[in-house]
Amino acid sequence: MKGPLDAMDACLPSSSCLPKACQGPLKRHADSGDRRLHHLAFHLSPAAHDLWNFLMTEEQRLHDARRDGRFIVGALKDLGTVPILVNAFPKALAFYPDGAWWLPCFKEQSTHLFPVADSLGAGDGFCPVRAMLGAFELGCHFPEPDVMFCSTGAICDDFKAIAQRLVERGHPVHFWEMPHVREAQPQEDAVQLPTGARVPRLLAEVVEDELRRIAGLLEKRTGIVLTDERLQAAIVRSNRVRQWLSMIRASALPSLERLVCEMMAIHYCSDYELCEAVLAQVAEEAVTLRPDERLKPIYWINPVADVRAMNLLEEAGGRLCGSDFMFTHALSRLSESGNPFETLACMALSDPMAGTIRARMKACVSDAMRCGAKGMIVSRIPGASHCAFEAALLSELASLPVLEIEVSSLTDLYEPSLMTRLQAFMEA
Amino acid sequence: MKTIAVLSNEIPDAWLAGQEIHLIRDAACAQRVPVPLRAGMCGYLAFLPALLAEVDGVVLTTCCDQMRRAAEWLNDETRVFLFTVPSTLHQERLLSAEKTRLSRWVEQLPARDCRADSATGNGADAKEQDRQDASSTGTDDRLCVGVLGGHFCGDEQQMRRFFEKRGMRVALWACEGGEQVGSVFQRPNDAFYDALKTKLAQRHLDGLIVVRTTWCDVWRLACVRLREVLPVPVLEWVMDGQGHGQPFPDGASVTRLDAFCELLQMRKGAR
Repeated sequence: MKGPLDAMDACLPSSSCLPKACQGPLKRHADSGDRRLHHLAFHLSPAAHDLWNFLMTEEQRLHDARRDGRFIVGALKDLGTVPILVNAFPKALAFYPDGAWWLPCFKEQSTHLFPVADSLGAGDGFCPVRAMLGAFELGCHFPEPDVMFCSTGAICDDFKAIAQRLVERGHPVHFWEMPHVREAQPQEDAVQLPTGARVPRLLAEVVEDELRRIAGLLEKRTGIVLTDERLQAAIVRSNRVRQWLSMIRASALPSLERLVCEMMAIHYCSDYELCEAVLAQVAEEAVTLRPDERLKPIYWINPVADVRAMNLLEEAGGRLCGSDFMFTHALSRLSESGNPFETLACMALSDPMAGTIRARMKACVSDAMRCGAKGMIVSRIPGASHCAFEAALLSELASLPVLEIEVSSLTDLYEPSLMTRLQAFMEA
Repeated sequence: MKTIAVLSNEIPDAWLAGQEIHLIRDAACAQRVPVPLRAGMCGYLAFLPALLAEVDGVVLTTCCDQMRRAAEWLNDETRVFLFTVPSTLHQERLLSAEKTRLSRWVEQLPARDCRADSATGNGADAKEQDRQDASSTGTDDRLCVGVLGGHFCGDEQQMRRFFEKRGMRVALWACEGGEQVGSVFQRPNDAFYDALKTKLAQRHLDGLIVVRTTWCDVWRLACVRLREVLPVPVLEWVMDGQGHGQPFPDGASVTRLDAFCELLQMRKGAR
């Protein structure tokens, strides 16, 4: 059952898995600026309430971590790999400043992040991740990380440009190479990725070297030696989160909460242990839910800058049955034996954005068929360099109907036309 | 002899020395019929299918995501080669492997009976002569401009004549296919700005024009930085809509370029 904010707060859990400082009605977040919460339809359950509190308290928890003297790592762009490495260091935590891309949505553009990004040259031709530039410039959301690592190479142009601008604005970034992922040619020595793709072994070695270089920098900064055992333990912990997510993704959890849960895969919302506790609760409830048979199962491609789009999907008669939010490599189980750096390198190379669009769309089609989808939606991110190519290729490959829409940070102004398109798609 | 279009300054001629090939460095958009594009695609891509039809092979790089995706969009794995150019400085092994892979691809590339564009070939010699003349730092006291950036969708000779008619000269041509001045795509790319400052001084540039298309994010933000670090005016020229069948430069561009020339002349007069 779904409902608005006040109904959601009536589900405040009597025994929350969150620390006291993170508990309380969600309305307090709405009152202190996260106005989008007033316009969302929530899955009404205590587990979902904890999930939302966990998400909405991330900024506060990061500031608490800074106060407590923890070592804070800003991971940029790679969406999943570096936080596992960081989690192997006691008292260190990683978060993605990229997540600031949701701030204009949650604050309903009452922040100055976009205008500040505009003033630095990153106007509305860039994807909403430009809000990150504004956030760093204003310094008023997350604390400045102690160190930052950004993947570069086979990444989108927006991020490549914005990351460089961060450096120019006085925020040092250690860049690491993420090479374009291609199929190995017959004469090349190859490795098999978790996705099944055979890629040149050289690429895995390049990324492994880069991850070792990052580990070396972290060792220097933290004074802690990273052993293979420590890293292996971090991989095992990551697999526990992935296991809970696997259950959630196979369940009938409503689309909005499902999106939020999946987003936790990339950096555990800055607290690995709490993340596992929250997701375990959600998963335990989610497996008991039955899908609403009136809603058509839809496979969704790309994350949405306005989370309300997930509500709109359901209002139009659809529901998420599967998704590729651009970080499927952060969802599948990692090998817990062998060289942990090689495991992480292969994970990084499985990033769907590092290879060809064709490979990604083929994987989406295959996943959609497995999930029983009746249609596929490609959600364009405004200004993103890869989105122009996706829907056309998907239409060639998929036997399912394909709809292409664009979702900006706030859909309110064009919600009627977006709904018309979604409804027409569901009816067809 | 095979005709290969190598559309990035990140791949210098030297890497293909010893191969018997006719090298083309730009798509000569003024001579090629563009195809319609979807919103969000770089305008330069519109000319690539026509180019591919007329050459034996095309080499693109991973420097920018639009070109990385274009390699796939062109849908010809035999005749389109995507070269992985490392974005960071310490990837000699990767770069070496890519050079070897490129050489092998050139050797194995089937030669077609293509219309190796003799006009482009002659144009290339003329361009090279113009660039050598323009880069000479003699006693010519005309105002000097530099043109750099992404792919130039117009006609380079026409551009030079445009400035010559206004009593100026193009002393640096560093768009794709022109001189290489550092790498704007490297991360971090401080060396690019240092190299450009050096070139600015060597060529006595009075102004700089940065060329890009609408979806060229890297050059868009680089232009902002150039304005912050260079002591000369910087004009950002978004070249969408230029190319085959279009007046060059178009009316809006002429207005902006003329205003830029006037600005440079006023600055010179004020000195």
